[in-house]
Amino acid sequence: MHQKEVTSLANVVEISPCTRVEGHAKLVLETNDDGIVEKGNYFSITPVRNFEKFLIGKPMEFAPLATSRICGICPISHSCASVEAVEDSIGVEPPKDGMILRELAAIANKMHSHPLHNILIFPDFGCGVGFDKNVYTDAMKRCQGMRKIAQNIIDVVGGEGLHAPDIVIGGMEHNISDLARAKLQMSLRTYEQLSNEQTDFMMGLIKDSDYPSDMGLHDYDVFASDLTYGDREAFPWETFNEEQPNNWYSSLEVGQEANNTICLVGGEPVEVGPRARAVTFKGFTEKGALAIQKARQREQGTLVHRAENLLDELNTSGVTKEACAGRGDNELGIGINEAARGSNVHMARVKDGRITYYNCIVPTTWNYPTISKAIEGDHYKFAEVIVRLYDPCNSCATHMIVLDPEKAIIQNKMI
Amino acid sequence: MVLGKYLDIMTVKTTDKTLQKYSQDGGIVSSLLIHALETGVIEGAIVAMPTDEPWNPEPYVATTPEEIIAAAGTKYVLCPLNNALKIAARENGLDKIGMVGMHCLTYAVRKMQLYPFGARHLPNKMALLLGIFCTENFSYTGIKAIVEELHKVNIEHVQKMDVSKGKMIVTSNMGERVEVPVKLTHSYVQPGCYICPDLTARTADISTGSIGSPDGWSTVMPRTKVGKDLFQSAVDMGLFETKPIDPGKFGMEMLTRLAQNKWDRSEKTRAERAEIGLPNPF
Repeated sequence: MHQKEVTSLANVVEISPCTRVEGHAKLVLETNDDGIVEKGNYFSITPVRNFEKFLIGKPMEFAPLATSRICGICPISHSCASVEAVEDSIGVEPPKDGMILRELAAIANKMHSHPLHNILIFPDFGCGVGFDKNVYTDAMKRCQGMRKIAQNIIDVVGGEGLHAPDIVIGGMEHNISDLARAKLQMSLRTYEQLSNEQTDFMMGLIKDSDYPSDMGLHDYDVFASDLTYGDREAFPWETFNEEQPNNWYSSLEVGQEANNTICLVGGEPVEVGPRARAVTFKGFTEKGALAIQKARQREQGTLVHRAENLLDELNTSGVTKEACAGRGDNELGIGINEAARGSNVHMARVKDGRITYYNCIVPTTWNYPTISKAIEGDHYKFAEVIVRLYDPCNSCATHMIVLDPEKAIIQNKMI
Repeated sequence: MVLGKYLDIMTVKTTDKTLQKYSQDGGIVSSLLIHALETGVIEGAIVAMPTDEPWNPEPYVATTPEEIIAAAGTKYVLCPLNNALKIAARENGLDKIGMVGMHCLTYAVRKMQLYPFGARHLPNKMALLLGIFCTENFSYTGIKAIVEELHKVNIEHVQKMDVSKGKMIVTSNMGERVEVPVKLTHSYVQPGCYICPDLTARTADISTGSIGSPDGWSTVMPRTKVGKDLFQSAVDMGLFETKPIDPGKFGMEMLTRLAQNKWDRSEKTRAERAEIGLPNPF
């Protein structure tokens, strides 16, 4: 286990690693004498995992299987983004029923992740030690009940709750039976009931909390490609650029320790996630870290309704997989899936059935600079709370090897 | 010991005329599966369903009595029914799964229930395991060679295969009946069967097979409470005609002798394998 360190030297507060977030991340905060953060740095210290490199030369069918293993919380989102990227590269379009099932699996992924995040932030809202034991137990049971239902949907639709093998290039490996559909429809009704109760509970906790309403405020724009699934057409090709962290963070030392890249749109960071989706597609106007949680709670209702509609639309005897006629001509393909934490972008080039280039821009990659900025202006004691409200997933977001023009590795992080 | 633990043993045949027509012997497996389906003990069953290739069945998740009847009758060929377990539990959405199989399949399911690696959420969904008596089995090319080389019948024209009283009997759809001594088929047996010690599927809920009962009847051995309750309710509903098993030469004695033979063959095979340094699964 890591020993958590909180050090305060010469108005620099370091918190490493951040707790109750997925993966390992670090906060380096420059504060004034009152403890107000003047410069925030939030970055990944999860060792580089090399998915984008070891995929090169592998068969394209391996990409969704491998990238699914990037994370145990969002495996479906990675699978979906990966197959979409490969399909875009080789020019295959899945049939309608295949897309319905794929979206259903991706929605269920979010439906399990949001309650899990609720559990992680309970203590931030006083729901933990010293809280009414019965209320706390009920909340935990609700969250786990919701996760069980959502994971079961992925079990049925994707073949396995984790690392679903049925999400394949060209669509989905299997359709589901009428009986399975009826059971899923029933379970969605239970989920909706639990979700409504849990949303009321979380809204109550937020209302009763002492956090300032403008906590975690920033002026950056938001980016979301779709309300429930993902749309590759929305990617901002014209204004997007990906930078190395060395120059972006407040000091070279911090930049060199960071294992993430910095993704910018129009030269500025963007926020991705449930609030970004709500702002883009639902006219949501609230800002700040607490607004993200409110958007996350409300999103669960949207997801359930969309899942119900998809199940109604599904033709259980329809074809779900399109044969791959082409094997790729090195075209750049892109797949975007809206994960629980935001837009998960995979890019791939496929030539003769093999991967020649792979790049992942996962939700938290987008959010690192945004979170760093959002911390500024608040007391450093709120920094970890703000980080958690963004629900970052650091282990996905770590990726970088810096090469010089002769292709020699000049920066090779903790591999 | 060779017959395993059982709560009861008797000679049984179905009273359903349609099933008698399609079934191998007493129509026990089909009747029990349909009864389990209709009483809600199972929501579906994994069976060996015929395919376009004659006598080469595939695992199939049957959820209606019609599908179960379509899969009735013994096929003397390997069919990896366990492959369909996840298909049944996942995309078919079954919470109560029935399965029918020989010792190798039922034993695998019980092991999976004990150590469910790679089988999340499956163990508690196994609601019923029906075991079939089995001395040995063949690969598809093996049974094709037997029928076409020994019986001299094109496999496409075979209507029924049966093993009885030391003979392998093939009936063609022209009504022709060809018998070959089982001994001659031994060279086609898949090697894994020689290590198998269990004739009567000792790990099933109910085991059944023709050995020990007259033609048109089957020997039935309910082994667990689930199996006994299901069988009893079927008897109470008049689905089966039952009589005590013949304790004599062609009844209990034969069943025990053949089970003992298989047990001895397994011990001999395992000793031979150990002698040349090959691993043994048990």
